[in-house]
Amino acid sequence: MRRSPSAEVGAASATQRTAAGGRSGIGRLVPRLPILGDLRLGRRLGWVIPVLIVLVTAIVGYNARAIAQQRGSALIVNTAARQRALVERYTKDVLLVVDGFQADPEESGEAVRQPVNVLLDGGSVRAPQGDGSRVEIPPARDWKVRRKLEQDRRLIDELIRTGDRLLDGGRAAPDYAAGVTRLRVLSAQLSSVSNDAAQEITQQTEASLSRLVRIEIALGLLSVLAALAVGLLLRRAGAEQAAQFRSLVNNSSDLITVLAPDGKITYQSPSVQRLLGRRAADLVGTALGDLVHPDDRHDVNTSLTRLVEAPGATANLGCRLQHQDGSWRHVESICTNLADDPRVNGLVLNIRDVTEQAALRKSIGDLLHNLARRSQGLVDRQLELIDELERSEVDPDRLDELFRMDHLATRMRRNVENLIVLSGVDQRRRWSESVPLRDVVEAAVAEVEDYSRVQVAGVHDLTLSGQAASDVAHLLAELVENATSFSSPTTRVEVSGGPTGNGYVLEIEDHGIGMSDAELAEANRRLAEPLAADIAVSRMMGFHVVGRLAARHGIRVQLRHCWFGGVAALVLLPAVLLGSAGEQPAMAPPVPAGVMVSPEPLLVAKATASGWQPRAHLPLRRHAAPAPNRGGDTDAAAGAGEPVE
Amino acid sequence: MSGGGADEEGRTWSRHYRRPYTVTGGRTRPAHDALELETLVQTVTGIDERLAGLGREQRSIAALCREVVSVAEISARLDLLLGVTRVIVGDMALQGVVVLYRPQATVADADNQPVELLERVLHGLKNIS
Repeated sequence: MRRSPSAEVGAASATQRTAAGGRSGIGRLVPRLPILGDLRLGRRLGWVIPVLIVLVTAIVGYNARAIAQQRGSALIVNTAARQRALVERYTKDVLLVVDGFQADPEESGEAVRQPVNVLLDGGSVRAPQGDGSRVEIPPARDWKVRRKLEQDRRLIDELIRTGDRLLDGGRAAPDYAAGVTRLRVLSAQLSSVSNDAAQEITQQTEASLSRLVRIEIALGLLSVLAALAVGLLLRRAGAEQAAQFRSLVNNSSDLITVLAPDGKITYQSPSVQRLLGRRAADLVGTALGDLVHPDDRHDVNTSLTRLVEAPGATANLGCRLQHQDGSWRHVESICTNLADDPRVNGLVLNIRDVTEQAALRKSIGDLLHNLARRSQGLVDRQLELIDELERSEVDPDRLDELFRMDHLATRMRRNVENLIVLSGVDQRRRWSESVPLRDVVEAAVAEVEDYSRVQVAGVHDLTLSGQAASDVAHLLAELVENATSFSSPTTRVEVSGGPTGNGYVLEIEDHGIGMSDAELAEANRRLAEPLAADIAVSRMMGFHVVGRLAARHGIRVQLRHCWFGGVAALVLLPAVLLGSAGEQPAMAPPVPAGVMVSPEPLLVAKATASGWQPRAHLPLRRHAAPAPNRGGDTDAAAGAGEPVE
Repeated sequence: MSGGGADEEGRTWSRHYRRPYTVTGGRTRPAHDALELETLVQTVTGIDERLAGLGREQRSIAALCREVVSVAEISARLDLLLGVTRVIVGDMALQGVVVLYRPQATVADADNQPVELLERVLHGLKNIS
């Protein structure tokens, strides 16, 4: 499965962003993914939600209207019923007045008119509750009701006209008896018409009420349906989203692993099947360390242990994990400590398969290595030839030219051997014999462009393991080169040395303008983490090479400010690389291989026995003035070998 | 070409990696002009305490030249380039660490005493081996 570079970059930046998020690696990852799902869900629910809102509004509106109508129709029925009573009262009032009794037919006549007028034309009537409030009644709309009411009104008019005539004529009037009869008939008719009207109104009200109820039931049912639809959709969307996330986790080539602080796997994403051929369920409860290549186990343990102690921190990790079939897969992992997140409670590892990249890197490294090895062979032969020529050359001018060639070839060899280091192929020349440390320092100086500015002062008579000699020489050469190129051509660069409690420190001081704090920190970071290769390598390749070389042999290199302005590079050679040169006199000619070899590395204990005082740290020492004014500590070193200018 | 091969040839690391030009800082012309191959060199007696301030080759030469030795012999014994030896010995002579003796027979008047010169050469060769 080959991934396109852009996808690669995208994935890388995504993981980086997650890593940069820091505090909640997976916590952030999980809610981020379903955002797409949320959007889709919103679109699908788009039509349901307005429908639901309309339905609910309609139900509420209808309810309000139904209550109002109910109230109104009660009033109307009440009003119609009252009218009958009023008509009766008017008739009685008229007859009473005609019979000479006290009554007020005028007023009750008006009262008779009022309900009909209100029912027909709308208006306000006293509320039946009797609290003095008035209720508005709309004009009757139904034509049947209106006809009855208009008939009612005509009859009332006639009733009142008849009543007026009776009142005017009195009992003496000739048509008194006919009038009274007419009045009674009209009254009875009115009663009947009012009844009809009331019945009509009641029927209408009932019909509209039952219509309301039906509509309400329908609306309610619709709402229930809409709510059900919403529920179903939500459920489906949720399931879809979960499936989508699960398939993302399952099908992504990345692994998500959660580790308990003791290194046991507490969660493993199923994509482990693809990457390592193992079932996720089988891995839960086992220790991650069991899968890690034995060579990487120490580094992984160190990184994870450090991470466990820092909640919220993130670390990058590269190692090999074992496939079910026994092969090893190169992986890169971003680990985040989410122990303080109760939902995770552990270390979250985002593991990515980089086997292909590792293979590519290896093949490029091999290519580089092969090319460099060939060049190295050629340069070696060139140097041998130059050696021969120099040996027989007496003429100073021609020797000078040969020296220039020699110097160029030596620098070329250094570059070529650095390339071999950068290629990452761990196959170096094996020199079995130990080498005097001074020779190593001088070899380093020979590899520097501006070697004549370099002064070697007071390097003790020690030997360095032959395995490390070339690497240490190149390492020193890079540092000296750095010192000469960042200081004025008129100043000297000094290389000096001194024993410490756990090895030997070489110090390279320049008198240049120095580095800013940020540059110094960056250089030290690069020295400390040589594996973090990046684009800036070409710019700071020297430090990168130094870091690589130092890491190979457990050498520690640090840059620091000098009090007089330049930069001092401290190189701590561990005791295991060192041996004492023994009783070999300083002035002896170079001896053949084998004579100086110390069979096993001589540790500091021996050096201390011969008079060295272990010191916690080497102070800045100036060797501009030679031996006589040197402190007691170096005089005491004479047993093991005395500093030689 | 390989490291093992280099070892088999008997080349030590130091011979491989130390370069002669660093010994003199790149100088090839002796400061002292009376230096021939057969010029004899002897360390000034009682100079030991000054040796500490000298470089490693200088000290080796001073040690070697407690007896009178020729420049060619120094070069051969210390495995130093002739050109380099001449520069160092010249410097040491100027510093007063060694004194130089011109041999009685030089190449110029070789015609007069060829046998003696040849004997000296023979002697020198024996010393080298």
